[in-house]
Amino acid sequence: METSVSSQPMPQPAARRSRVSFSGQAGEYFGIWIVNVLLTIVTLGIYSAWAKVRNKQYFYGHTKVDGHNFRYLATPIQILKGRLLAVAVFIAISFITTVVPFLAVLFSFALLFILPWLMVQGIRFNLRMTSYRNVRFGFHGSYGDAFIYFLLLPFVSVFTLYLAMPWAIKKLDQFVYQNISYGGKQLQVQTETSAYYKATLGAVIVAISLLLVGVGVIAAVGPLFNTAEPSPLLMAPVFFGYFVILTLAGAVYKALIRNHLFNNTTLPELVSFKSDLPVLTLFVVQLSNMLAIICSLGLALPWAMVRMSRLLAEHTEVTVQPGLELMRDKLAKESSAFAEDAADLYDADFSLT
Amino acid sequence: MQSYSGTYYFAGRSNCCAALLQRQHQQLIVRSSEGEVLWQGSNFSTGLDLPGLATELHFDDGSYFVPDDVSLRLSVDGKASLATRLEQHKVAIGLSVLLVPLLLWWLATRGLPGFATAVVPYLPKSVSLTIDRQSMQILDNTLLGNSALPEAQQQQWRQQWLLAIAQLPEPLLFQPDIQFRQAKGMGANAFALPGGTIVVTDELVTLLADKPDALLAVLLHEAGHVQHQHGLKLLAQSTATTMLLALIFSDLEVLSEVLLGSGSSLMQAAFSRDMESEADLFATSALLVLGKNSSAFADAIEAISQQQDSGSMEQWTRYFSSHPSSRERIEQAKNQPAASTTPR
Repeated sequence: METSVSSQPMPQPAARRSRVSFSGQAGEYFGIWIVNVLLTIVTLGIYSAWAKVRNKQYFYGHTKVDGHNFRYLATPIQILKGRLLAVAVFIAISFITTVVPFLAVLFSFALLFILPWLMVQGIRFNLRMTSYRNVRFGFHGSYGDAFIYFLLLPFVSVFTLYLAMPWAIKKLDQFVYQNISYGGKQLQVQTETSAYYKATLGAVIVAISLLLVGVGVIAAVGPLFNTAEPSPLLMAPVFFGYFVILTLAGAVYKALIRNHLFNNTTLPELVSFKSDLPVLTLFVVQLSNMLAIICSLGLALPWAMVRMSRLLAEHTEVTVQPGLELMRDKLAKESSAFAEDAADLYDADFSLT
Repeated sequence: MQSYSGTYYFAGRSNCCAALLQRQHQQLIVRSSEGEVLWQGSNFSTGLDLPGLATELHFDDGSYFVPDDVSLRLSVDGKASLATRLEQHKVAIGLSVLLVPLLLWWLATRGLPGFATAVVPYLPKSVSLTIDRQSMQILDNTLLGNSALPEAQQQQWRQQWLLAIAQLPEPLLFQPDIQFRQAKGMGANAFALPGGTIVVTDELVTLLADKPDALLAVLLHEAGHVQHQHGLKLLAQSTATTMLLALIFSDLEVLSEVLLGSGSSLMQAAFSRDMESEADLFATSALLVLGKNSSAFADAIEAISQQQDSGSMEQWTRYFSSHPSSRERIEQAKNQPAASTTPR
């Protein structure tokens, strides 16, 4: 952008700091969700494209930063085209690999190289379809970098007995977030490798120490039930304990990484973020969400989604500089008729989700 | 003239201001609070209306207006869209809660198997033949070894069986190609590929050597799988199930993987149990046509299940099992003659 914000000769109004607000209501969203699921089933999946747009617009529209909501711009037809293509490819591959099983090996090898492209394509599409104050987001990650960070580094880390994995994930996060742009201006990410190691270590220590406690309890209580074969009545609490421990370890990692990532990411001179998501709150919400979903056979899903969005919004603070009002939509500017057409063909998220 | 307050977002930039929208017939005028005209014309469209969210007005130059009043609908008839009305309609929501599980159940047990059964006969035969050729190549290189049975004995069995099959009134879709193999992992077993290849393990031949009719029954059971094209039907059904579940439960993320995995394999197991029963029926009725006692099939199942260790757990694992329980199958086979001797 040529109009550098800092060089504007104007009196500097104060920056505005506020929490992200999420105003979605579980009851209201339940109606949207269940009716859309029914319409999707009745239309054998075709309506899912419309359902996706409505669901996304509901969550985007109810998420406000500095008093303005996000917008989801994709049209159902765009989504449908991508999905139909994905479905066609899926059917073709499962058919071909059955007829000629040898090709399955070839396909999975080819998929390895297509995967980074699909990832970039998906992120790019979703960001370009996200707008804030009538300016769209963008993604600039290249295929080569995506290959390195999505596949190569995680793969190589396996041979270091996973010791390099936190570093590889830090690089991956950095790749994804640093390549996000708003109005042509890219995010800056200054995360520390040590934070990723601390979060991983914290999660591992929590998991192992609780697992040891669990094993101790079983060893102590087990002999009281003198049965030869493990009965389902005894196995249930063991599975539940395992599930709780894994959820807790996951919450430790997720909260620490999210806070670190947000606190060290800025849109230079325009926006800075702060996240103060508490580990225990996240754990309680995640665990109760999962239990509610399982016990309600899935019907509690809308409630769980609204609850999680509200929690994440409450613990995110955004500081906006006045210069944000002077951004221009780069994508709108460079759109000749051809570019628009090409983008329309090219812009698709080839995923079923 | 009606007027509404709201926010106007300029085209292609992040600037916005408080504005007043005025409507005269089909003509709209957007004014800033200073009275300056920001946009006017009749070339506009309304955005999606969703419960609890204001409906945007999109203008032809890329700018848009968001009314402050969340319930305001500026579409031609002033009503919410059909989708929105359904999503807020108590009866529609209640009906959905009831219908979604029912429809999913119906799809799993009737719809998708029915779809597979309808689609598969349209596939060209060459597809099945190619599958057989390719699969046998892979199986021979991995799980299966050459048969230790003398060639003469193999020929004898083969001839005997083909002769029996030739006597069946209904012509078979595929000419059976009977192959003997040694399989360390499989034990006494037999299986069929879609194109008519039927593989019989040495272990099975040894186990049933003194019960030729039982061995014939097993072979007919496998021929039943081929005749009803069960292999391709399973494939068609699992593909359709995976895709439908992925479309419906796409928001579930982690949970969806669990559900997708176990859900579709449970459905598949149910479908496959039906198929086994269908193949059993084919075998027992063929035995009757051939003038044999249909209890020969029961003998085979009994001999095979005795070899495997099956006990009281059977009824608990029913839902996970791809075959009907042995007891069920034996009873079914024994009932067959009784049913067929009743006057028609």
